[in-house]
Amino acid sequence: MEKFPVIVVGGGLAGLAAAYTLARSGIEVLIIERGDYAGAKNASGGRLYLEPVRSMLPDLWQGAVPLERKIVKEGMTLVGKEASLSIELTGELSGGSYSILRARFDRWLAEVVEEAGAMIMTKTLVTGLVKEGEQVTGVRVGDEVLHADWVIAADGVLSLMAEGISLHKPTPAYNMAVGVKEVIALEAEKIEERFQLDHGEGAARLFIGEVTAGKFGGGFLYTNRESVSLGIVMALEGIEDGNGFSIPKLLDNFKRRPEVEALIRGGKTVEYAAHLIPEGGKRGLLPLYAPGLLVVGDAAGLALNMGFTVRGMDYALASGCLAGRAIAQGEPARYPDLLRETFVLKDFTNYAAMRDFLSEQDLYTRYPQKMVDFFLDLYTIPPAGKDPVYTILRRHFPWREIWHLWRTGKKLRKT
Amino acid sequence: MIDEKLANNVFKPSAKGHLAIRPGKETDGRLKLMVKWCPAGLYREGDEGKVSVSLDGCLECGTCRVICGSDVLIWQYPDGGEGVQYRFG
Repeated sequence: MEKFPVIVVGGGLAGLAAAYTLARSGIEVLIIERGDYAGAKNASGGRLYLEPVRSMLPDLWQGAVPLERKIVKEGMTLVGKEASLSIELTGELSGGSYSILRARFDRWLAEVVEEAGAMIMTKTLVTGLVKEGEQVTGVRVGDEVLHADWVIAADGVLSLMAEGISLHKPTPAYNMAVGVKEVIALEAEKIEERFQLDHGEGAARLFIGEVTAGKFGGGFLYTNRESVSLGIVMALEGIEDGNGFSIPKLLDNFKRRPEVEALIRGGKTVEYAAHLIPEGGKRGLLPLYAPGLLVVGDAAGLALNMGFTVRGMDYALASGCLAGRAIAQGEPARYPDLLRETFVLKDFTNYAAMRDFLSEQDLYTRYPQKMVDFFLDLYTIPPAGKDPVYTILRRHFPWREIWHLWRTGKKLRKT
Repeated sequence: MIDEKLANNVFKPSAKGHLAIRPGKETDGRLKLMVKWCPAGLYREGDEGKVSVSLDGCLECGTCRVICGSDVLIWQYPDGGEGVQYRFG
């Protein structure tokens, strides 16, 4: 019986990072990907934080890496009904993040991984895992069984591999968000002019408030080399109470807001993508290990909404790398420990209370609108004479409002 | 509007349907949520509150699988090399 040392299910970032690590350790590895090519089924906002994973994947970052733009501007926009308030951070940013487009990035990474010695089988759907007793011993492809010493489930957010052997239940809606995104083609010069960027530099912006009709979620914009990624994310929590707009309609409304329309004017939508995002935080983490099986990336729930930014792709690369390392070192069961010892699970622990905090409805309705109203009032010069600043401030933030804010702030302390 | 957007995507035809509503479940409340929440707008509510789904333009995101569960939907990925193939992602 032919048997692979390692089979990786899914050619996304986590699976490819695992294969890269294994192949470079001289271990034979087969990646099975259902898309026409690695990246064909993948979508992200997307921005990749490179610094946490740079040293984990040595020799990968030299040469022609298809990073789109280095993010040098961070923006946050509070969106009210008729106006919005933005803050922007510029200058010497050391965040070390880059916008990427997954179909391009993953495809490139797959080529690198193949050069390193891994084998990739595309256009092939794995329908399930094969077990002998408690041990995962292979994968099912059509009527065939491919045997392996170790299987790495890198099959993405729905995590059907692990679910199929009852390692976890179907993920509850509370732990999920759905993202929709348009890639809007725009000339590089126009992007650099509109966002005031130097050549090759990029901007990231998050939007909170009216953009999701007051629901848990937000809008995002990332500049790519010759396109803009524009989209919204909605938590599936609270889906029941909704006279709200449909998801496609929310995105259209977002695009039509003057502060957004001005940025994408003249651009042409070249792709529309939708993807689920694990958003359960620490409580949403799924089992990482079973005999014969290691679970990595989104399939393990490894994505984190930190409030001011969202991460997942760096965790995917890191978890894949560590799974590969654990196998290469002959201690696959140590994989969860390796995650605990590195930034990955430290971040999830540090942000353990963030998920509940982000459920706070006021973050998406009351506060953005209050801030916008205050500044609208402040910048309005009426014919009859201007009130003192303190009067205006108290008009919008009376004691009960301050009290309310303070109580919300206290919840943040726990995060 | 949504159809125009989806027309930008590369879709490869699928030999067999990869998702279906279980017979008798067409009026389930969770399916009605999908009329608004399906990113590709594939769910429609018709006569007598019966929801139907069209598979053309499915982005395979799985939102309906999470919301509706396996008692309402039969849901699996399309076969290898079928369905949406992102060029940008």
